[in-house]
Amino acid sequence: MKSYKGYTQLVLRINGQMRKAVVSPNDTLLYVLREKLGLTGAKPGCENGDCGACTVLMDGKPVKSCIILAVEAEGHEITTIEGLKDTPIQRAFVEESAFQCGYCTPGFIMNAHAMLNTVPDADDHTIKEWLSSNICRCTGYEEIKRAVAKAQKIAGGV
Amino acid sequence: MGSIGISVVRREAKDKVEGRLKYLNDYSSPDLLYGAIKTSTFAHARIKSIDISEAIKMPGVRAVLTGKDLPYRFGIYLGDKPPLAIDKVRYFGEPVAAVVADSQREADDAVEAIKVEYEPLEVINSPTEALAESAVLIHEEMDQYAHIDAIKPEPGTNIANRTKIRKGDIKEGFEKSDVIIEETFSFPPSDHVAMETRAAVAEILGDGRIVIHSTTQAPFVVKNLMGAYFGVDPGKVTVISHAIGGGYGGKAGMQLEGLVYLLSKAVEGRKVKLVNTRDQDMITSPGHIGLEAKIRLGATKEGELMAAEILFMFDSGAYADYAVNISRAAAIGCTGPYRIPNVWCDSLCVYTNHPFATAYRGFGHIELAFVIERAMDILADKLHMDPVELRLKNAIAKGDTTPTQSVMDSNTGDLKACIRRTAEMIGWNEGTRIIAEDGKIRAKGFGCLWKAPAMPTNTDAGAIITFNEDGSINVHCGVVEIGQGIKTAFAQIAAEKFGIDVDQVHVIMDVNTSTSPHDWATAASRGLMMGGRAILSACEDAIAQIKHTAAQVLKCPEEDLHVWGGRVFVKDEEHIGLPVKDVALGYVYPDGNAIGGQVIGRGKYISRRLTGIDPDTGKGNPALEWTLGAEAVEVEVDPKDCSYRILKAACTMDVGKLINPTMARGQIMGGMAMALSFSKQEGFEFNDRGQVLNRDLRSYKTLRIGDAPEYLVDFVETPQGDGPYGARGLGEQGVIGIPGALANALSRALGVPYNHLPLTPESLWKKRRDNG
Amino acid sequence: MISFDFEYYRPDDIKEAAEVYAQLQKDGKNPLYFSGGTEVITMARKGTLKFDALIDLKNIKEMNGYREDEDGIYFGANMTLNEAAEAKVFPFIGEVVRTIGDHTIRNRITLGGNICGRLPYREALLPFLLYDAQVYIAGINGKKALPLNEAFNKRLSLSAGEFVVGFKVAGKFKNSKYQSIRKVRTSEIDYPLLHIASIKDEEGIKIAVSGLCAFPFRSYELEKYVNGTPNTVEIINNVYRFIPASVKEDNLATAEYRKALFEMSLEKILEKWGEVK
Repeated sequence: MKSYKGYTQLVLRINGQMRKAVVSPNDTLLYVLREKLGLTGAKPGCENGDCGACTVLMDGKPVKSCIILAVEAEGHEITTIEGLKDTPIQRAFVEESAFQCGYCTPGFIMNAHAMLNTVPDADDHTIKEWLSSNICRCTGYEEIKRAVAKAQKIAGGV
Repeated sequence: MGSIGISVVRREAKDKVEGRLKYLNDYSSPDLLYGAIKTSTFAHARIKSIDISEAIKMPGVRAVLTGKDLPYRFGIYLGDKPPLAIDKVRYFGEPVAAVVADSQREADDAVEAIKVEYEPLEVINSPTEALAESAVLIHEEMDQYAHIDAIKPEPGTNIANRTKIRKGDIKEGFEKSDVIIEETFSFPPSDHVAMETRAAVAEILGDGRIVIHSTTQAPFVVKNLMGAYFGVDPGKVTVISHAIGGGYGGKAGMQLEGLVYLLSKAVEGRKVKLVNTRDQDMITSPGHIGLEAKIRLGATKEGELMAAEILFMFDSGAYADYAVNISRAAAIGCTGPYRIPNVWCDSLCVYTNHPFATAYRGFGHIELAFVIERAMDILADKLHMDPVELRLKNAIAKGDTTPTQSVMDSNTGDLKACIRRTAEMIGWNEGTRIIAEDGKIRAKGFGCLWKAPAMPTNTDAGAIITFNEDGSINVHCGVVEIGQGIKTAFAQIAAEKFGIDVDQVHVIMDVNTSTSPHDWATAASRGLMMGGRAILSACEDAIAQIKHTAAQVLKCPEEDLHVWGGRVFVKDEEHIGLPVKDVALGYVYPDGNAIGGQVIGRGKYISRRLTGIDPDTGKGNPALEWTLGAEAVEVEVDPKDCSYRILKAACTMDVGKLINPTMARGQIMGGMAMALSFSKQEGFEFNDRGQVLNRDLRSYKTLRIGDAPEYLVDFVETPQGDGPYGARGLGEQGVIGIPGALANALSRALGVPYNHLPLTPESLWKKRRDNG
Repeated sequence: MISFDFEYYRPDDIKEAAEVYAQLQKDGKNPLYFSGGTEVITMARKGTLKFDALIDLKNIKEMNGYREDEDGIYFGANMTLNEAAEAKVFPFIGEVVRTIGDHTIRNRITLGGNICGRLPYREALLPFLLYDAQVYIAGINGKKALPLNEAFNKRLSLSAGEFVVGFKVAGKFKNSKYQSIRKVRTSEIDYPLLHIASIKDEEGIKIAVSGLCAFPFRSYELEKYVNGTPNTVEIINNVYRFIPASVKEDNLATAEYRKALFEMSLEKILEKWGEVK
């Protein structure tokens, strides 16, 4: 049985690398990513699991890192926005201007990236189901919908 | 080559999709100290005692401050707000004490250990309650508050400002009216919900210089207020604004900067960071103003508007901040974009025990438009006239006068064209109320918009242009990038002027008040127009300098030269010329002699021919330019439970000239979405003790992707003569007509007048039931 | 940020979990079982929930996934709501649980966590109540199976140190028809004002409700009345006699609107069952 009391060294697998950090059981994954590991791409928006700005992938699935303890992430593969480079969804976000202030963008991209990996031919219903987990306050969401459609085309080689 | 009117990808796009763009809270350093604040649990109470004895002893704690330590009064127009409450609290969430500690956790722990005892006072929960004769005073010392001349507080009452509009003869106007309607409207205070919460970092250097990093839309306002509040030499204050995660007005003015400076001062000038939690960002920091309004609107039986009598009672919350100017802006534009010869308006900014209000997208105009646009539909009903027809008939145009009696000049946009285009896009003539087979009702609603910037008469912008060795350009301007894409638009404007590729223009993203040319604030949708003008003027200045040097080399008069496409050349003999790169940093002859020196283009713009308004009649010319437009909404309502979906939202706006179509569309769709969210489902819910019940994003619901309608956006381009390439502001305007349009659509669908926001299904259901 | 310290344990089997709970309690500590954590972490951050130790059950293999044997289908309490939705053995379970929270959150919320949580909705319960599920409860004295409808009365009755391991549903329910209606204040990503789930099988119509009262419920009395009364109007008129508590009134909705939604939705459900032979 694993157990943690007080500050202890934790080894996490993040973006394919083993990363070490001294954490307390009450540290959230978001806090450790940002404050201990310098991965500031995941953003605090509500720290309550509501807005999705802190979304990262855990074993390929989107999760809100503000409501996960860092110690829970042990043994799992974590992917943050820093781990994505030139993916179809990132290219499509640029091409479709799917953001304005950009603060919600990493969370949206992580979620959409996971969706496209899991359900490459996601239809409107699936897109709505997945992406309703994130809040964007600048766009009217239309550009985000278009970016997802474009990423599907890019990934499909169209 | 052309850079205007094309959808250039925004400058910072790649950094944004890779999560590399740094927002203020993404920066940290080992020398940082952390601030935290204790907030009030009462909306109105005397502070009997604050016990900090335990907190001050806690590990890592460097300082604990209370209101008594900080004898200041903040307020951009009216100095009414102590940085930490003194003697009494006036709203739920008001800061009462602050801690500085080595870590955020230690600071938060110390805040927990501070004990405050309160003696509750009567709570004022609405403007109506605040205006009652027996109402308790929220600011007993109003007569001692400093304020600017344009603001007219009424000591001994809860009125922080009153703006009067008296145009024509209101009595006569109603006498000439065949049809008169009278209605009341309201909505509660709400919030911006920028995804990035407000943050600020302050440090006082050894020589007394103050460096503030802030999530601010208005770094120069912060710098100016630092001088005004603390008597510090403005040259010693540097305010730096990085990428901003959404503003919508909520990051204008002074936010956390004043307090974080005081916290730094309390720890010998060490660097202190203060970041709002989401609930603090919603209720402790200011939000969107609330409103109660009454209107009488009169027209001839042909539908010609004759008279409008309007009373706005804005819910400013506990402090004045920008609210006193929002109420003034609403008075200035009180009629909406309609020609009304006789107007009486009193616009009151009223203190209540609610969280206080600051600038919010639309600044007085989304508020006034809800009232006017609903009233127009009610009037159209009574006249048995099509609401679009009524709007076309009264649409303001060149030569008409505004409520402040200023004449709409030749730069006036074409509102009628906007109305017609929006009606066409939404399919107005194909039916505005259709009952489907499943019993659901599809209905449409219309709402027009207008907006002028509410700003000082001397609002300015500045720009500096420098050159690189390859002839490419650096543009430096003090307008802040808050997501609106202004830096990209600036690059397009400069590229167009020089006839070079937009990639050859580099824009400095951060704004630093010590190195950026002065700029009023990134507010009022004036960045494109004023910043754009300053950049054009800087380009011209640079071009003149390039010509001056080149003329010596090319041995020709300066006026015979033209700068275009990276070359400076003789106009009528294009082959005689030089690359700009050979001149821009000084020309060097083959023998080594150098002349000219580097080119530094200086540009500036200051608003033209603006005046204040007369305190008794409102007469004056306070509007730089008016953006006009028309919006419409289509809904599908389930008449049983009154739940509904928004199917379509349409907007046509006269933007003068499109600089970047994709970004312009994005701004307008985003504005419509924000306003749909606001009018459908946002608004603080208060209990009778004035506590806000929905202060997180679990209970305060904003629009999500599944709620988004189909957007229909189009533009009309009537050039703004004094705008850059004819462009005028468009960033805020998309919000303005939407609340009225949505309420009109739902009123039409269910046959019940809906005059109060938010339009939740339960509120629709209840009103319909009560109306039988 | 969670302002208080606590210990964290991740046992590998049921016995270990129960033992560490007992030991912590013996040491005078206040332990809490922990699954998806979404409620626990938000409540801890807000200071509305305090504990000295968390016992994370997610590493207990027996509580993961679902499997089918001769007497039914077993759902591990650690299954996330998305896993339960994607399992597809009982599409109705998917239909109900995929309305809870949002999709990303449902990668963390577990069946066990939702059903044992502190929020009054616990919508994941509804299909299991209707399917007469068995609930497996473990504690220091080992594991036991109970009919969920007996173990659940306003909340699941668990003694200190006990936790839910899983649920079992009889295979026969695969054939039952189902429907549900969920009403919200304005946003679909919200708690329900009302969530009615209903199945119809050879025993008749069965109904479970969340959001209406301070706790979810399935009322046999209501079902008996509904199945014995052919007239829908009559049912609606008398329905509150069979509702086990007062209708909730809060800042999401008034009781009268909840009642109106309940009546409309029940009518719609009964209408549809009328069409189903």
